[in-house]
Amino acid sequence: MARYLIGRLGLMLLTMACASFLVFAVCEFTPGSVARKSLGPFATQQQVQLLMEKLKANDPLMVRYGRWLGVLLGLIPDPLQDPGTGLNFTDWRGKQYFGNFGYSTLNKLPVNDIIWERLGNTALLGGIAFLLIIPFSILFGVLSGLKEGGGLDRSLSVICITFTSIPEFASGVFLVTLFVILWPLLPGTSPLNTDAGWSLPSQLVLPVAVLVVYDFGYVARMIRVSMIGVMEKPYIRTALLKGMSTRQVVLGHALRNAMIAPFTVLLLQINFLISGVVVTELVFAYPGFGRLILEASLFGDVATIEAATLITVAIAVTTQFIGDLGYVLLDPRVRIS
Amino acid sequence: MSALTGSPLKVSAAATRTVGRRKRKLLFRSRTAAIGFFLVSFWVLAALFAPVLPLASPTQQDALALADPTPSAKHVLGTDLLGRDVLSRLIYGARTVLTVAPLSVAVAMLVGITIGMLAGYYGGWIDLLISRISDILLAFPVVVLYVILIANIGPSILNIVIATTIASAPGIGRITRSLVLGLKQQEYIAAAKLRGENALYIMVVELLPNCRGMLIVDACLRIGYTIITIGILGFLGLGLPPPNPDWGGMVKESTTVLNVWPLMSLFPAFAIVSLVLGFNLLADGLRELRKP
Repeated sequence: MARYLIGRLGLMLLTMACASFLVFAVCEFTPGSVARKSLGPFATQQQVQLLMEKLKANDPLMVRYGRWLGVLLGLIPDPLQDPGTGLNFTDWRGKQYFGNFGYSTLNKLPVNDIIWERLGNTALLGGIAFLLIIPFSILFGVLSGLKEGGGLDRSLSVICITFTSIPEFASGVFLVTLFVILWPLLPGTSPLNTDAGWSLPSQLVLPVAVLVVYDFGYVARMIRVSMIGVMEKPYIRTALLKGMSTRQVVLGHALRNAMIAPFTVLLLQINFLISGVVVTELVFAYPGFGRLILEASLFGDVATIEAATLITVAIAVTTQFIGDLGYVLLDPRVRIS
Repeated sequence: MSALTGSPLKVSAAATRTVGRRKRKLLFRSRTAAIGFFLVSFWVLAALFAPVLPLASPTQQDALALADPTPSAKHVLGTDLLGRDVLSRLIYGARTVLTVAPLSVAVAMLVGITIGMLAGYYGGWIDLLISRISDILLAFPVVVLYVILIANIGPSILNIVIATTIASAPGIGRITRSLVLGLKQQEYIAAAKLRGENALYIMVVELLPNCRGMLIVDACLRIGYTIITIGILGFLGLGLPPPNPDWGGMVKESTTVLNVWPLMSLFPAFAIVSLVLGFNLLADGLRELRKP
C-alpha cells in the first residue's frame, strides 16, 4: 500500500512537471511580452530591451524554465525582486522560499497574495454547485434508470440532454433575463461584497444555478446507464420475486451497486467545474480563480498562469486518486494488485 | 475466382443497404433522434443556402435601426449594437460554426483514432508513452487549456482546430484504445495475422470498421461540445476576429445592453442551444440504434 501511494505521488509530481513545462513553452513562445506589459504601452523600445536584459528574458527556454522551477522550490531568489529592475516588487514571505510562485505582472503583487483567496472564492461557488449536483443527478439518474425506455425515462432523458446542451454563458443570459431583468429578484453581478445591498447568499444563487444546470444532466445520464445495468441483474429479480417492494429493492440493493461506476464520474466533475467557473465567473463578475486564469492568459502573466496550472493539475490528479481509492472502498471485488 | 468472390460481396453490399435503410427508418421512429436530425438539418440547410436566402448583409450597418434595434419588418430578429441584421448574422454564424466544429472534430478524430489504434494494437512501451501523455493533457480542465492556448497563439480557424485536437484527441484515443483491446482477442484478427496481413491493414480494414459505431456517436457528441467551446471562446473575447459573425461573440457584445434589449442576446444564445441540442439528441438516437 505504501509503495502504491508513493508511486501515485511520484506520478502526480511528474504530471505536474510536464504540464508546467508545456504551459511554460506555450506562454513563453514570445518572451519579452512580460517586459512590455509590465512597463505599459508608453515605454520606449529601449526601456523594454533594458528590462528584458535584467529579467534575462533572452535566455533559452530551458534556462528560463529551470529558473522558474528554482524560484518555485526556493532554491534561488526571484529575479523580478531584484531592485535593479525598478519594478519595486517585494514579498513579505521573504526572498526565497518553497512554493514561491513569483510575481504577477498583471496584479503587481506576489502570486501567493492573490491566488489562494481567489481559489477560496471558487471553492465556495464550486462546492455548493457540487453538493447540489449530487442529489439532483442521483434523483434523475435513478428514476430514469428504473425502467429503461419507459415514459418517465424518456421524459427525464430529454430534460437531461436539453440541460447539457445549454452552455454556461447561454444559461447565464437566460437566468439573468428572467430573474434580474423581468422579475428583479436577484443581483446580476456577484462581486462578493455587500456594497450594492445584496446579501452574499443571494449573490451566489445565479452562479451556482448556472453551474448546476449545465452539469447535472451529464452526471444523471451516467447514473442512468449504471442503474439500467444493475436493474437487469438476477439478484434484483430475485428480490422482487421474493415479494420485496420496489422501494426496498431500489434503496437496499440497487442504489449502492449502481453508484459504484458513477462515483468516479462524480469526482471528475470537480475538474469539470473548474472549466465551468471560467465562464460563470466572467458572466457574474465573480472574483474567483477561473476569471484570474482568463485575465492572466489574456495579459500574458506567466507566473499566475503557471501557478494556476499547477493547482488545477494537482486538483485533477488528486480527485482521480480519490476516485480510485473510493472505488476500492465501494466495490470489494476491486483490490489493488 | 472473380465470380466466386464477386457474389458474396454483392450480397453483403445489398444486406448493408437494407440494414442502412432500416436504421434510417428507426432513426425517425425515435422521436428524440428525429428532433435532433431536424434541428441539425435546419442549421445545415440555412448555412448552405445563406447566400441565396433573401437576407440583409451580415456586416452591413443600418444606421436607422440603431435607435431601436428591436425586431421589425425589415429586420425580423432585430439588429445588433452596430445596426447589423441579427437573423443574417445568425445564419452566417452557422456557416462558421458548422465549418469549424466538424473540421476540428474530424482532425481530432484522425489524430485520436491513430494514437488509440497504435496504443491498443501494439501495447507495451508505445501504449505506456501514449497513455501517459494523454493523462497529462486530460488533467487540464478543457476551457483552461483552450484559454491558455488561444490567448497565446491567437484566434484563427487553424488555431481553433489545433486547440480542439490537443484537447479532444487524448479522449478519443482512450476510447479507441479500449475498443481495440476488446477486439484484439477476436478470431478474425488472429486469422488476418495468420494470413500475413500487415499491421496497417489489420488496423484500417479489420479493427476500424468494428469501432465505427461508438466512434460515430462520440464524434456527434464532440461536435456538440466543440460548438459550445467555440461559443465560449467567442464569449471570452477569444473568438474569430471581426467582422466574422460569431454566436458566442454576439452574446457577449449584447450582454452590455441586456437590461434594455434582452432579445439581442437571447437569439444567439438560443441558436447555440438549438444546434448543440440537435447534435446531442442525434447522438442519443444513434446510440439507441446500436443496441440489439
